[in-house]
Amino acid sequence: MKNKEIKKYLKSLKNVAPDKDFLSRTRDNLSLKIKQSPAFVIKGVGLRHYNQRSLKLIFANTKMIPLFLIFALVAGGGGTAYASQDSLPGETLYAVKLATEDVRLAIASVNSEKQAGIRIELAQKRVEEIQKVLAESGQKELAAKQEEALSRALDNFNSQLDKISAKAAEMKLKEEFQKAVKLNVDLAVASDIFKDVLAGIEGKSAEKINKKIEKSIERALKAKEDSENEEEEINDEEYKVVDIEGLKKNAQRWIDLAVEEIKAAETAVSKNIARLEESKLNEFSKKIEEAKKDLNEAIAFFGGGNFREAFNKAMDARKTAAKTELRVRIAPKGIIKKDEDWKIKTGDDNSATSTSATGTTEIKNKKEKSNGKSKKIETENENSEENENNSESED
Amino acid sequence: MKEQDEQSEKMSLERDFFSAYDQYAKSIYRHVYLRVNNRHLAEDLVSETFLKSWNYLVEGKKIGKMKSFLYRVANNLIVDYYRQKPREALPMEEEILEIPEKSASLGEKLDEKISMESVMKNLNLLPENLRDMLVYKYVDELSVPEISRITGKSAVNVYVSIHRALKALKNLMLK
Repeated sequence: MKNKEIKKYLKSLKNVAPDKDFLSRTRDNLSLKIKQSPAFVIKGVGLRHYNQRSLKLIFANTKMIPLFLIFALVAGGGGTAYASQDSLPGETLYAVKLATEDVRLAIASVNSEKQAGIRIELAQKRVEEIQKVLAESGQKELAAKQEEALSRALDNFNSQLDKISAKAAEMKLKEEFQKAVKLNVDLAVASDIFKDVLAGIEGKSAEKINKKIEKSIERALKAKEDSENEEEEINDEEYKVVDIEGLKKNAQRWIDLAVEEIKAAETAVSKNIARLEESKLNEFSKKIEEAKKDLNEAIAFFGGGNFREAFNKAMDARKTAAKTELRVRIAPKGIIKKDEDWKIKTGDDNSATSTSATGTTEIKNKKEKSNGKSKKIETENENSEENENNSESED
Repeated sequence: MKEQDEQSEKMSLERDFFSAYDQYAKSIYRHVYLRVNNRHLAEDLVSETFLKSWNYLVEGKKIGKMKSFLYRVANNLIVDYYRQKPREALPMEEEILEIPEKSASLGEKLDEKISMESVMKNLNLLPENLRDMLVYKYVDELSVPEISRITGKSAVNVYVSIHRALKALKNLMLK
């Protein structure tokens, strides 16, 4: 191989490119930071030195937080930041809103689960913003600036899903399996909702935006399928443990997590009572009761030494509780679908046998392999129903 | 009056700064990414690079060549980061590789993607100092004097490092 060829290959790396959203978002954030700063920072021994030292004290335990994000939080503009929270793409304060989101993410960076949870919220916010902008504009053509802002909001949405997926993959690599499973379950549920909402607004705007919405729907669908597959893969690995001590440990861990998830779901319901219709509240309460029943069965199996069954039941309890919690927190009013949504994937044979007399356990995997049976986007009738519900929720 | 002068000076500085951002942000990102091999970290470091550069400017300090300055700040941030935190092996992020528009056919696009992935994979196997030299020289297309200014190494040292790096990469790609 000649040097000329090696150099040609190296030059091909010039095509490495950042996330499209990153460059524009960083520019906006820098612009915001510059506008908030006085004409000149104190020269010589100055504000910069003071801020770096004191900020290091304040954020001593945090990982790398970009300094400009710290300034955005500390340097002021608290009132502006608050006022910006309802702003929409294309409005003046929208850049402030995005900047405050970056600060939240940066501060949460020490806790990857918390950060991922924030990202799911932000993805939801983007979807809601896009819905609102399109609803407000009605049949009118969007201004170029607004169209550009919408396009960036969609890029931001895709970027949030990408980062959550990446974080789940990182957790799996680091063998933080429980965290990875939780994140994958959350991402799958959230993506399912997002794709439905986006499907409801597809076709209501200019061609460029519609194409981007279509891509975001595909992205959400892919996130859902990938996270479900990942979750299944991790669970299968945990499931394969055969030694008694290992099984016992796994079952115990899953039971503990199921208890936490159920508590979280109950908290979510009580916090959102005012926001939800009675029928939804009843539905969620029913799901929590189901999860509790599975948990009680898991505990009973565990007490009886049947750790495989205990693991199974605890897993069911966890999934039901986790899905309920997330749906309560993030689903817009009226978007919750009916019972088929709640089915935990089952295999062809749902039967489970208890531990055989010889001690070998052959409990079958209850989950269905992903084979292209992923959910289709709703039919037109369901879409119109969702749209009506959406309009109601915006009143 | 003094306040007005300061404001208009700031606006002029802002214009130049953002002009530099628009011109160099993508290259700085690419450079940082190829060195740290992690998208999130690269984003953080690039943001910090530009913020530090802005802070430098508003303190009234002069920047001769913005491009070299930005690379130098980015380089220092990467070095600082690795001083605090040991390197971790992270999976290569395939999606970051954009296929050039001029690749006409799907076959060509696929070949290009495979070549890029192969060279990235082997580049990551090189010792850090050698890899950095190749990135500066062939990806960033900086001259030897520029690389010398950015890294603080002598021009002779830079020439020798580039030569060794090419040889090492060639051996890896032949395997």
